[in-house]
Amino acid sequence: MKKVWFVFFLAMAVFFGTIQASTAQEKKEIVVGMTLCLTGKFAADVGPFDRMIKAWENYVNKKQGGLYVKAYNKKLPVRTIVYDDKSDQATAVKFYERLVTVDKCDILIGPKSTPITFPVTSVPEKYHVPMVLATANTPAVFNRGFKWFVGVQQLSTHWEDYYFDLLDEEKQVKTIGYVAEDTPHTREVYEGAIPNAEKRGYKTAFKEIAPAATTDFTSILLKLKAADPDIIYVSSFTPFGVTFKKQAKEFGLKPREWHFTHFDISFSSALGKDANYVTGAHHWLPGLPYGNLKKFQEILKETNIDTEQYLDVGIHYVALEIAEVAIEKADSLKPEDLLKSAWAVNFESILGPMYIDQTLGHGSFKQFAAQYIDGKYYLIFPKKFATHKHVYPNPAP
Amino acid sequence: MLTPTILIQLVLAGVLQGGTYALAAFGLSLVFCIADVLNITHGEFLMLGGLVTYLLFALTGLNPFLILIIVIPVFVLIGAGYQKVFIKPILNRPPRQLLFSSIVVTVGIATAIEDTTSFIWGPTVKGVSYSMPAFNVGGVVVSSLRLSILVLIIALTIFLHFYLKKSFAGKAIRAILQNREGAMVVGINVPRIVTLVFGIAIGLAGTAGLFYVLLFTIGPFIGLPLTIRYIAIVMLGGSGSLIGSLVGGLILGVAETFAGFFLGAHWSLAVAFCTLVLVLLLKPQGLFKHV
Amino acid sequence: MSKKIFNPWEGILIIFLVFLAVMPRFIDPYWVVFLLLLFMYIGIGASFNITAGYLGYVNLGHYVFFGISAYGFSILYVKGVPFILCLATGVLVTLIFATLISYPFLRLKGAYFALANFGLIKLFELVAGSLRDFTGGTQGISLKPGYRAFETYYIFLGVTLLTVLVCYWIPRSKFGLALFSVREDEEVAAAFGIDVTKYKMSAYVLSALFPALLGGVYAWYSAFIDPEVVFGTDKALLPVTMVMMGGTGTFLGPIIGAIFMMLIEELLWTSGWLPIWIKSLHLTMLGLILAAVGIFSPGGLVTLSPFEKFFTWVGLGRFLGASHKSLKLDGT
Repeated sequence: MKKVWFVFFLAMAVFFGTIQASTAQEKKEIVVGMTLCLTGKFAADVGPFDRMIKAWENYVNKKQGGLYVKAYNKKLPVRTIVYDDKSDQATAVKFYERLVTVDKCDILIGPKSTPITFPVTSVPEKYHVPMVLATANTPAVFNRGFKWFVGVQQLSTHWEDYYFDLLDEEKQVKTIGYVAEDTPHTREVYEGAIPNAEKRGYKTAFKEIAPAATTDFTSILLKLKAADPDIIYVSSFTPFGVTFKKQAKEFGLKPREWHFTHFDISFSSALGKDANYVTGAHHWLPGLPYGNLKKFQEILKETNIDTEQYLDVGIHYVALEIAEVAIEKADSLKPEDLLKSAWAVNFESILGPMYIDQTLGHGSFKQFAAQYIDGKYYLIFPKKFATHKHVYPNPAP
Repeated sequence: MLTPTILIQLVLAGVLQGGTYALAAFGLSLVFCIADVLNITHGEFLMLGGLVTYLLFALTGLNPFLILIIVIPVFVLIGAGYQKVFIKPILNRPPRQLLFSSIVVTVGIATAIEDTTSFIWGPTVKGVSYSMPAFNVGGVVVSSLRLSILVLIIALTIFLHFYLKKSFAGKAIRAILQNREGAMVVGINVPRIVTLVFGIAIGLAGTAGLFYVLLFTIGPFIGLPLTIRYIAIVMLGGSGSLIGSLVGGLILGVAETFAGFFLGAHWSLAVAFCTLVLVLLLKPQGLFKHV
Repeated sequence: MSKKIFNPWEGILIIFLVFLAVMPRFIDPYWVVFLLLLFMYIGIGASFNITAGYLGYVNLGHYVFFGISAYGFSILYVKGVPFILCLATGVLVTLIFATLISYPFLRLKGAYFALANFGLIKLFELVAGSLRDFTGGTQGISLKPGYRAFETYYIFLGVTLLTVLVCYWIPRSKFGLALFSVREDEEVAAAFGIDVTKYKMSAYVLSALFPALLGGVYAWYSAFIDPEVVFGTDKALLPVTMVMMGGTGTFLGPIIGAIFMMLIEELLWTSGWLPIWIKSLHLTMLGLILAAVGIFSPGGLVTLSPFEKFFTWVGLGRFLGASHKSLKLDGT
């Protein structure tokens, strides 16, 4: 009896509680909402970002006094709402509906991963609430003609632009062998990288895609060994990458360079010495001179987030920066004004110049090339803020 | 394209792969056979075994094969404890209710373990940077790490085989597998033996976890997909059968490597599962009877 | 006993259903989405119950029917085929598959049956991921986008009502009686002349119908599916866990289970007053609750005696339905 009544009353409480919240009229604060993959498959990449969001909120409110709104000619405090979408599509859609209809968010930050982003983007489009996509960079997401979101990154096909620019400059590489993990993101990067490289004159010595759960790479390694390319390019996430590299070592594969599209501390600590001199792509590493570094570093310190471990910190943070700039430059907090302002952003974020492509809506950030050398991650290209020279060929025995 | 070298290489890889599978599968198989419990938490213990190994390695830098000496008894105890707290209450239920209950309880515990692990140690994957130089035998690359692991697995299997055959506890286990009531009549303390079996099973899972983290990476959420794979092997090989788990694991391992070579890597897992389904349809009880 | 007299509480039930039908006009669209998901889980759970609870064959792979239909629907829909045809094909393909697979699979018993079916899900996930030209591979299929929550709400409401009605009718029918006798003792049932194979296959295929309907429409609603979304193993276990928590073999079990789990998730995440560490551990708590239910209340929440007493007290006792503990002769 008690249990049933308890549940019943709780249900009513939730129901009425949320109805009351939605009848609040006057704009006393700016609400920024999002879901994060705090549990489930993508939790490994998202990690402690909820702390970062809260730290950002505190910083903005305490150190900046809130965000300036033109229409009221004063600063309003910011409130952030974060839900856990459990890396699940249906849960994410449900919560974004909630953010818009119940929590009445002014601006949304997008979720992680393509399967979740696709249905979720219908929500801002229907309700006319602007959204900033932090991690989405799949061309297909931006090709649908939706107007109510902008992105942070360039399309995934440009993931390797800077790395190939580096190779062009050094003129030492002739052939590349490609292996990709069959997950949408890594596959796209691979499919974008190959034509990108071939256009620049690098021959494709080998290419193959393997399922994400592959535990034995014998067949691929045998063929790669025979092909012996200068660079072995692996588009993968950490688990696949580590397993592949370990087995490659046993097979005695010795390319002049290893390139892994995603690498972080998990990767290098799992491989130890074998990770030395591996190159890859990174988002934000110390050494970048852009944007409001003081604020960013203070937030990083407060939340104890390691940028070498969590690649996505940079782009998530820039999404917040875009939201901030959009709000402060907009004529008012009305959705159309916020959206116009979001599309018009043009500022220096911590990742460099940030502006939105006016046709498709994606951002301008391209991944920097990085290299892991003797225990630390360094930026190696573009040269102007590289913290270490590119070590090529791989001197490891 | 298929030279003898490559053929041997593929078979070797398949066998090494399969051996790792077999170890984890056998524990699951024993538990299912002796208590009719579908232990979906099995994969979580493997993950925990890998996690403990990783933590000890990061802390002490000890050779993982020495860490094994710690891991095995610790996990045997964990297994026994787990059984006493969570499984014992549901053991004396009628078969269909037992099936439901075992699924519900083990899925619940598995979810709790995954989530807590992710919360405490973070959701990132972890690996152990321990490696052994591989050697080359006439063009065929042999991974000494994998070979050592396989040798250990074989040793464990032989040990288990003799334990089940010769020791009193082992004979008691086989007696219960064959005829539960009869075993009770003869005076065997069934509940205690069941606890022992769980201990062994989880001990094997933890050990498999140690091997797993040496070869691959572990993360809080790898448990469930792995459990499914091991269940597949158990059903393939026949539950309760040591040989069955070994053969089942080998079949799956070799099917994976060969399919990967001939059909392309993305078919390897699908073929493996197809093999399982086919075998089950032909021999619903699996390939071998229990020990 | 009191079946002729109009029970006022049943009137309330009808009013409740009407309320569900008109609700979307008055409440936040968020609740429309929330309820739509709830209906989906109830529908999948209740149909799972047909084979697991009534027939006694635990089909852990039940979710595969959802996925096959979703893919069948999507493959045609992107080619411009009208919605109804896509849905019909998706459902038909699923039913054909169910029929074909039922004969060999139903020869397996108990846990083997459960696991073989579970293996099917994994198999489909792998196959869907590999057949790029046909299914779009791991990139999935992206349908014409659009906001379809309201329509989906009504469709799901209808399908779930249908499922629930069927689940209500089965224990009171000859079909249901046959299923129960197979569940209690298959050999004896066969000895009595019941065509066991026919009933097993019918139950299996019937249970496939409802997730198939829901799957096709879900693909349309979310406008994007890939192997992990419709064949993911954790997702597959979700409706199963809901039913088992609520109570298998009972009419109310799947409903209670789904409501309970969705409410808990909702409360844990949206109540501002809970400390952050509880929110971070919500899955742990869910897991522990699940284990507790499994250990202490094997029949599910529905068999908790306060629950039974409450329902009998309000005169809705006949909805408690047949539990797998006993089948009373007066049909309650």
